[in-house]
Amino acid sequence: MGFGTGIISGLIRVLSIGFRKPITYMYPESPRPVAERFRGMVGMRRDEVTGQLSCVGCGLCETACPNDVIRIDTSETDEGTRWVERYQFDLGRCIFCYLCVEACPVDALQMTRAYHLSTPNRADLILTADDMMRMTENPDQPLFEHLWRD
Amino acid sequence: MVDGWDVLILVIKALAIFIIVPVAPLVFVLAERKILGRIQSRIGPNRVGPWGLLQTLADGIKLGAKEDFIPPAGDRVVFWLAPLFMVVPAAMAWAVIPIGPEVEIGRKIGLWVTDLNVAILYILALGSVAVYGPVMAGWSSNSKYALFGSLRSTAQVISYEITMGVAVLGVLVYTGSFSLVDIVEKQKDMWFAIPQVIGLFVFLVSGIAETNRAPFDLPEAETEIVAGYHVEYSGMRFAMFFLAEYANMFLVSALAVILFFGGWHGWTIPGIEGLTSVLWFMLKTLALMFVYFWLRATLPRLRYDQLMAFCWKFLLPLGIVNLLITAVLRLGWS
Repeated sequence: MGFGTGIISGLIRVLSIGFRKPITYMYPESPRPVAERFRGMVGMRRDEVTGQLSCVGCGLCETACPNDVIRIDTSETDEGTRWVERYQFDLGRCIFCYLCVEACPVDALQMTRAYHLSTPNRADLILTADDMMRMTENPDQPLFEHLWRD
Repeated sequence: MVDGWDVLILVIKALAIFIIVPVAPLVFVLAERKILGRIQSRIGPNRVGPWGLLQTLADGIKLGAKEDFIPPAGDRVVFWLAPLFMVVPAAMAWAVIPIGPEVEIGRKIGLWVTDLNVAILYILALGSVAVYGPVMAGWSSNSKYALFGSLRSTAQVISYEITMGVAVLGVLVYTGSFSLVDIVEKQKDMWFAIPQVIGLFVFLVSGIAETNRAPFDLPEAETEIVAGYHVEYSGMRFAMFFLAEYANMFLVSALAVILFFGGWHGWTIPGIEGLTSVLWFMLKTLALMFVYFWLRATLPRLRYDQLMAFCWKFLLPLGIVNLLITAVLRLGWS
């Protein structure tokens, strides 16, 4: 190896890289493909029969959550039937550990691959069961779609 | 006989230079960012305008809107003058650069502002004046980093000016003329890059060092002394330094094309010789600009002692040997 050959081989190498396709994904315009088992936001299954929330309000996810993400308000009829008044999920606190999904006895909580979750407002991140059902059915849609339109 | 038309043509030529010198850097900055992006597997600027074409324009407007800050402990007058010492020589040198042959549009018009008979000396002299830009900027900023940058710049530019001069001398021995138009005309049959290949190497390396570009960008080494001599500059004054850097790169590329790559000579299409000649000149200059960007993407910055050793212990002896060989060969011919 003579004097300056390293520089020349370096220059050729750099040029050959310059002719490759860039690895950049133009994210908001064209979505980045995610892995098959990507850990996205926690979703909620819609009951096939009623088309309603499939949560039974047992509160196990609330207990399982290490981070106080989930809050469930339930009420009971006189016959002792329980229904969910409000299901609240604070995505801003969620660490995507999926312990709630594991805890759920009726498989109401589901794993999704949704990752378009950004918003400039932290208060937006407190989600309802409807938001979670929407994201389960359509994980490629942005969570806050109104923000994505120009 | 000088008439009104001559004066008008001269004014048009001068105006063209005054438009090219500030506009060309806008294009080159974008081109550099795009090319560097591709080399680093990125896309580069792509948000402002179609394909990011208006990025540098947006940057320029941003710089123009910024606060014009002068360090309170600095020397106001020198601080104010320093950017001018960078920009004005870069623009003035273009007065003697011939971008094409003499064309016939009603009358004979040379595609240069003036065919100075000491053009090379004029350009080297302007290069020496441009050293004052970093020196004054570094001194008047009253900042240690700026002073470091200007000290480095002074030593580097003065050292590499010598090797550049030696490389140019080789060409001058061949042509026997200081006029750039004559030098280009003498390369009609053979580019000087072939007999002067060592001279070309010395010239290009010195040119990159003269313009403070990577791998010789020690005066503005971002990682060591933040930005060197222009660290205290903001807004339009910083833009002037930036402009001067790219204008100087363009100038050195054009000079290398004129001295070594046959200037505007190339295959021409009959009927529009003038236009094709200018296109040839531009093509060659842009290719050399690409080499600048390419080197920046490849090579890391030199250490300071390496920089000086490379100039004085390697490049200068090489240039002198080249000059001696050229002189002996020239003597043998005649």
